[in-house]
Amino acid sequence: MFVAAGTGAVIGSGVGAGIYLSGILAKPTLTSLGIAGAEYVATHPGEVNHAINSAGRLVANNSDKVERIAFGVREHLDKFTARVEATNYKQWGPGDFQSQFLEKIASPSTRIHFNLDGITNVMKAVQQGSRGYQNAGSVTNWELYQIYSQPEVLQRTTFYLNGIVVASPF
Amino acid sequence: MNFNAFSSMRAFRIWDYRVSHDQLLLRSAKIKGYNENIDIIFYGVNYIQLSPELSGLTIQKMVPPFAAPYESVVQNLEFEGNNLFEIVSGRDVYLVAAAYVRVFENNLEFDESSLGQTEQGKGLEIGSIS
Repeated sequence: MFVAAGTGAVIGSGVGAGIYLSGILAKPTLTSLGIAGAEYVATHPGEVNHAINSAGRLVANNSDKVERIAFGVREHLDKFTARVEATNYKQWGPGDFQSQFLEKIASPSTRIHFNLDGITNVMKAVQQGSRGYQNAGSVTNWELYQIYSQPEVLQRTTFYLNGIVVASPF
Repeated sequence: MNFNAFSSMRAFRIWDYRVSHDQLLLRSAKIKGYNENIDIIFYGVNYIQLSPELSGLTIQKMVPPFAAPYESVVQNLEFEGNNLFEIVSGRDVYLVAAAYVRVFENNLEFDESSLGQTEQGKGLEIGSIS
């Protein structure tokens, strides 16, 4: 949706008629990837609301109020997000990311999944993140610092490395 | 396929790119006759096919089904948060794959980028496409 005022102009609707190189793409909706039961329990600490689907796999119960959010460096983020059945900033919609992030992690019902892949020195990243959003070197550093510096948030965070749950680095 | 779009007759240039959150900035700089920049920021960019200079543009989110240019783009679009934006400038059609687009007006100087600025520092948000 585009809402605008000022110099730009709003065009109501149109037809995406571009013809490019490959076949027609029908974009699928994100659906549960159905991670196996043991992994589900490991990756969803404190979440008791789940169900067993027809294939005998534990899946998230969408009726619960727990929100899962995912973070990590960009190279791994989307696949990681899908794997832990969370959302990342791309799905939160346009807005002030800093406010969105702080609001989400502050909620006691939010479970945070942080992928450490690609972060070679966690404490250095935290140190850089402590310089503030604008001076952190990367948004991921700032995110990590925010989690590190808030024990209650850290408690709701699950860390991953090389695809498996690992102990908190803090 | 209905969607909304942003359109401007002004000239834009690729102005900046930041690895963090994969942000791409297109700017129509303030010049004589225009008191403010128009900054178009793409977030979560994972594909760019674009001229560095655009004399007027219309940006619209493409709604599936559509033809995607490369297999890597197709794969990225399988994630719900990623989208494909068509940028029409004159007779030319370009593509940027990203999560969403935000458009700001501001008074930043030539050597000041809105990427990395605080929310207030980016200026007045005049719209978004998602």
